[in-house]
Amino acid sequence: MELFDSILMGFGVLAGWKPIVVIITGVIVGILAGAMPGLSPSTAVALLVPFSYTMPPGLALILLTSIYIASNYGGSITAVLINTPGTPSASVTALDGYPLTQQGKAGKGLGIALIASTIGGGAGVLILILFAVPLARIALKFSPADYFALALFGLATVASMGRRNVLKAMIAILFGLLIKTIGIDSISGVSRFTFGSDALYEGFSLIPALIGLFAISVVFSKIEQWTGLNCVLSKVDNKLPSFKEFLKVRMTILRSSIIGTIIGIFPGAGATIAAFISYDVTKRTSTEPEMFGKGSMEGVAAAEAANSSSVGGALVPLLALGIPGSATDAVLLGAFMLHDLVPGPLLFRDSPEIVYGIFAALIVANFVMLILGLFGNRMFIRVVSIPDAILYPLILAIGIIGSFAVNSSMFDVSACIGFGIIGWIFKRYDYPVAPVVLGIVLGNMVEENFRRAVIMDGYGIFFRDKLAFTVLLIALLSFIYPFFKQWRTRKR
Amino acid sequence: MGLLAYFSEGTGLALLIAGLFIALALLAVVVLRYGKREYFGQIMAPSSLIGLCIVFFAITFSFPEEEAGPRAVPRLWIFWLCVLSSMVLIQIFRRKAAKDPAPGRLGFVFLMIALLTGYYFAIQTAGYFLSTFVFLALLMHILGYKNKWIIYAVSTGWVIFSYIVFYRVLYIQLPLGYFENYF
Repeated sequence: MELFDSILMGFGVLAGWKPIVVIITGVIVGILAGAMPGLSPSTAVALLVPFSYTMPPGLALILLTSIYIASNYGGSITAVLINTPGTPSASVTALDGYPLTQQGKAGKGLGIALIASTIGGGAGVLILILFAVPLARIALKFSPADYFALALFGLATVASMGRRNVLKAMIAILFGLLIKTIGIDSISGVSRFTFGSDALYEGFSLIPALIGLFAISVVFSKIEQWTGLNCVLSKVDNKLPSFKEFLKVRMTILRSSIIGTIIGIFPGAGATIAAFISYDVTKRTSTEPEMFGKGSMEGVAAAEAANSSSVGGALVPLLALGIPGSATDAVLLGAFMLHDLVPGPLLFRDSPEIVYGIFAALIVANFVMLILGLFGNRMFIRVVSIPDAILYPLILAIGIIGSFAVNSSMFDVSACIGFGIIGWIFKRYDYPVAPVVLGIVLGNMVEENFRRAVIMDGYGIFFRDKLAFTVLLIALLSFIYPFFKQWRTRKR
Repeated sequence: MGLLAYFSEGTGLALLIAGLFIALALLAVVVLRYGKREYFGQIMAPSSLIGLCIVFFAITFSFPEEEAGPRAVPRLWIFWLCVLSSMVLIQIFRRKAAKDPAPGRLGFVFLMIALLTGYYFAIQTAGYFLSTFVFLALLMHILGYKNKWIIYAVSTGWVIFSYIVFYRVLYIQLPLGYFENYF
């Protein structure tokens, strides 16, 4: 009952025209950003953070979470129409979405993607509410040792999900953690690795680093591979899937939504893995597995429901524990900090209107996405066909002004460009960038809690505290497991 | 330890950084000239990280020594970063690592970095608005966009948008350079 009242309070936050305009704007921007190949949800949110500076914190976070949830659907538009996924997770949608377009059924492909995204997104939010609230209550009792262990577990999981190269994912995390030690040490007050520069006393600001790593580096990478040709979008028919066709995929949507949300909860897993696993499960259980890859609506529904529902799942550790589970969550964490808010259990206690406002906004954003998707797909397609020669300079311009706006500092601009170059080099040599960001974001949390725990109770606390010990053990296992797996594969 | 402490600040640190730059440059020459050209980037990336770790490790000697003090955690990250970077290098030398990606339009990327750097300095002298207009127009032109009117319209549009949204609405004091008195 208490939870129901809180949700009602969340909807109360949305009363008035401002929050609704913010949600609609967020959904439109999210769909467009997601649809543009090269702009991932994290890039879109990072680029839009500067626009939220002077907004009240609640509205700013509603804007950014609306962008987050809509960008996952947006990715499917170009995936279905031109076989160019706007987001990494939409690559699974393209497997069956594009064949549908080739068969002249683009409307059906887009329609089923939209419905699956809406239901998946809604299911994800529902599970988010059910999980995050009790988890936050439990987390109020966590000690510094527990927080250290949880943050380390999050980082270890992210590294172990580094699919192609776990070693490089771990290096990326450690690089991020090391970067975060630059500046005044918050416990002892000692200045570390500042090379005498006043600008480095506070360390690198998070937002310029995020913009550099996510947006500027993407432009460099795209420019390197750029052929100068833009994809030509074909004409889109308006024929939506029939009710019968929808009924046929309803169980797929439901199952994939649950899979997506659960996978989304695990740090590092994210929308892409959720979409792949869900697609695979659906194919195995389908009565028409031979249709997969040839324009199966079940395939499109599975991928889209899973990737959209993973958003709700990924927000569970962020909101309840303050531990970002994905790159976009890391950017959102930065946005929280920018507005002097710290996600975690205390946020539920001290600023419930923010948390429940976000929950309510996510539910409303899903409906807005459905309506805009049904009527606005033609317009979105027109807008995303903006030539790369215009898009890339604009991304750079937004990135530069956005990084300056944080502290009105040109040092932040140079840091943004520097991180852009680092991000490009990392990507070029197959070092994932998202773990760097997670390292930067979680660096303080890991270090401060580790040192506080040791100062209060000595190193033995990590063995005496049962939760910390168990979580550290799991973190160690998830760290070792990928190496063990590689070793076993090689042995075979 | 006394020797390491010498490299933690001042002249010692400068010498250490210079020495590492020379070492990395020599490594680059050796890699390019003696057979591992296709792994150049894959070798230089972890080697540079190890170089960074050496510098940071030396600097930690200037921090106070205490239990769970300011040097503890950075050293932990440095240790693991060195170990894992070395493992990547070992993988390369055992030929179990991927080669460098085929070079794309690297010249374009370097040109863009140079333009961004120029833009960064131009903002401080010529002001944000003028330098942004020139930067956008120039970049679109370099990237091969043909329609001049669209180029000017987009550049002007962005400048007006940033003036209204950032300068007027969000009150962000964008650098005005020589034009400070005109705003």
